[in-house]
Amino acid sequence: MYRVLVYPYNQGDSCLAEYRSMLEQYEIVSLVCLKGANENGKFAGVQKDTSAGILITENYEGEMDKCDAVLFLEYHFLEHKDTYIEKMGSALLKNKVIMLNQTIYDECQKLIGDSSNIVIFDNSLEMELRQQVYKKRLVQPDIPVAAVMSLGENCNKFEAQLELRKKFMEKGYKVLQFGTKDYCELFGFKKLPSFLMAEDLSIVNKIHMFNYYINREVLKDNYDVIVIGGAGGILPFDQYISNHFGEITFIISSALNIDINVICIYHNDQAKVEELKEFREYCKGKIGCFSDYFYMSDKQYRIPESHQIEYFQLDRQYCIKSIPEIKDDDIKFCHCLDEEKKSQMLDSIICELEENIELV
Amino acid sequence: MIVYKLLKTPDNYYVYDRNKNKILNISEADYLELSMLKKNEISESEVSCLKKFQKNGYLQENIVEEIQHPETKYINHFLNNRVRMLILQVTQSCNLRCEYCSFSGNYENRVHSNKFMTWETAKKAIDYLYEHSSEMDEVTVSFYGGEPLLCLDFIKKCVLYIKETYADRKTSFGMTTNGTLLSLEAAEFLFINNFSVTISLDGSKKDHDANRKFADGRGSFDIIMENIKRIAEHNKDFIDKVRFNTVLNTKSDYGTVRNYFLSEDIVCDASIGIGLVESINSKEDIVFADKFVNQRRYDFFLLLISLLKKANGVSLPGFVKELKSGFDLDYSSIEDNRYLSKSCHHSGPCIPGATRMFVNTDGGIYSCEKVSEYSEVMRIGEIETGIDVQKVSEAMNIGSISEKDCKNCWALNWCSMCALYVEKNGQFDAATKKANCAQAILGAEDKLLNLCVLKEFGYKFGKEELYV
Repeated sequence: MYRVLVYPYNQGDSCLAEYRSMLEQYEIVSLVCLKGANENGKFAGVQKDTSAGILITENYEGEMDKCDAVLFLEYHFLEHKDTYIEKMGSALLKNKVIMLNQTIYDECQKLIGDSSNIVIFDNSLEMELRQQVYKKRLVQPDIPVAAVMSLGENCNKFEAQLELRKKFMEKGYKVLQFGTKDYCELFGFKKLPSFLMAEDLSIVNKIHMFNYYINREVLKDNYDVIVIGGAGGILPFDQYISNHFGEITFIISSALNIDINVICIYHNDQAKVEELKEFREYCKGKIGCFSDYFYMSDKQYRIPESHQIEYFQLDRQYCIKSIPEIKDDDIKFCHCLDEEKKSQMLDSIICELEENIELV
Repeated sequence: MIVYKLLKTPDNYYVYDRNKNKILNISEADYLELSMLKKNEISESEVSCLKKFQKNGYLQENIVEEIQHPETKYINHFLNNRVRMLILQVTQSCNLRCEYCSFSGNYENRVHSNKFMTWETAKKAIDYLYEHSSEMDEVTVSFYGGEPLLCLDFIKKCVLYIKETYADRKTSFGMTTNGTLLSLEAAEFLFINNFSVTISLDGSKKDHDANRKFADGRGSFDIIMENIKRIAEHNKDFIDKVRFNTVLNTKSDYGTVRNYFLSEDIVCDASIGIGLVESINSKEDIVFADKFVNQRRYDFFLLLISLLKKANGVSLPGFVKELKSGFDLDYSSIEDNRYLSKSCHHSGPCIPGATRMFVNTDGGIYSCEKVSEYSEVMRIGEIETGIDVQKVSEAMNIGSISEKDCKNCWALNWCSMCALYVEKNGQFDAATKKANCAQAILGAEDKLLNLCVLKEFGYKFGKEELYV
């Protein structure tokens, strides 16, 4: 069991605290924020009312003795590169393991040097995969595929992936999962393969590679279900905010038939059944799968005249008071702060898959 | 009721549809019909052209049912997490006695005093900013006066405190100064800390010194130029980044001001902000001479034809050229497909206290540096106790005091009025708002007409920079 210090902790990575019971072989012992950050002196997990009991601090050196490993998050890395390097150096000097993603590693490698204590969280596939891909046909795995997608960034998508994982595992299912955060490995599953973001591959190649990759991974164990988080959004917000035109979700849904698709949407107290149904139809056309499950976030966005999208984390009490009433036979809806409805929705996902007709 | 505005250029007819925020090029016959409908000379059912527009989604019934700022329900969130900018009034004292200054005594809102901000107040304001901006990637701290450089050591202390206490928070610094105290030492400090510095300069010596004087009556132009030239010898990069701010006032000779900024080496490549002397809260009417108005309009005309590439050899000062981005921005807002909803508010108001938070020497919190410090409604909080949410809500929802008019006003999407233009004697006043409405509506009409004319003559609205 590794005792982990997270740096720099920020609200966007609150899953690490809120879902710490799901961590496999890791224990979060310290959450250290940037110097002067608003999180300093507060308890992690306040939003979900599941206080992890870890006081967030800006005292990196002071917390270091409590941990075996430091997880460096990419949050504002480029602006604070020197600070990261200083903190990495300090951790390595004290013989701590440092865990970081490929981007941070590539930027800092020359300055921090090589060390067996450096662990890179990345799912960069062996290059041979590119050569192994045969474009003859797409193959559908023999087990169901559940996807978690979202309207855009910052929509509690990783949280929904963890909730789905938890529910499947509680029911005894073996889950093959690919997620949208660098630190998926801490929770026992893999990050989406990095070739999906490669700039030198065509979308067609990515689709075939992803199909090949998933089928290969499925054969490695007796999995019951595949859960895939679709990075980014599904559609552009407007002519300025493209969400990469939903490229990743398009690749995933083209590579595999999605049996269950959960869509994470931003908080909207005015949301109506008709709108969700309209969106369900849109998904059917755009990504070729039914999207009957809606997971409402506690975050909101706005696009000011500058066209720079701004996300904001809404107040817990405000959210709870303004959860819209969505009742419909076809649409399954829950809000991330409504534990009861959330559990019901996840149960109905399991139920739908269990009731599927089995084909030979 | 259908809310629209008819527009006409020498060659074409247009209708602006408020619901859709679009301008349609229409025939003369359609224009005349819609004009008659506007005057209630015919009924909607008698307007034959309506059907074709409505079939395409335009000129539908007014959908606005309520005037409410769309961010109203998120006020608490903005005030708690998204405070973007702190402006510290470090002193009310100034070494100049500019005649048009808001501290000059010619305005209702303030006078010069020898008040200086205490360190306790500044520290509390700074801490408040960082504690209430958790969702901001970057915040701005700006220093304002009086003349802020009278307090250089105090400003240094503030910057040091921020850099030590909030080391990893991205902070931009800014200052508006009269430039008379801009020593080499001050410039070096501002440069090292990457300040955005704005120097007030009203043009040539004659134009500048007409208003911007020391207490003994001496003009301040020469000393500012000496400072700038001395600093330029040591640190040209600093001077290259300085922005100049020019206040056109009733004593300005527009021709000499524009020629000065066109020809003077030290300023001709600089960014120049230009504005008219503030009329809000002025004790006297501010009236510009016809010559001034006509020269300015002629420059505007030159800008239009230069945008249309029909003004070869014409030189325009930077502050006129900068207006181009305004046209492009206005056009992009029409392209944006942001339609009105049932509940909305006219454009203009920010979220006071979040978009900007002006803290005066006494620790009073105001929505910005322009508002009256004597006004009860504009004082939205105290640095000791925080911001009064109810006051913020009232200030950002000033449309509610003219709700009936706003619901049916065609200029709702193009209005420029914020609380500043509605306050009188410490209260929000419907009559004051109505009086200022006329100007806002004229401004909106001007903007739409400019778009129509430029489009007619083939202007590409920002596309040439992208594609050519």
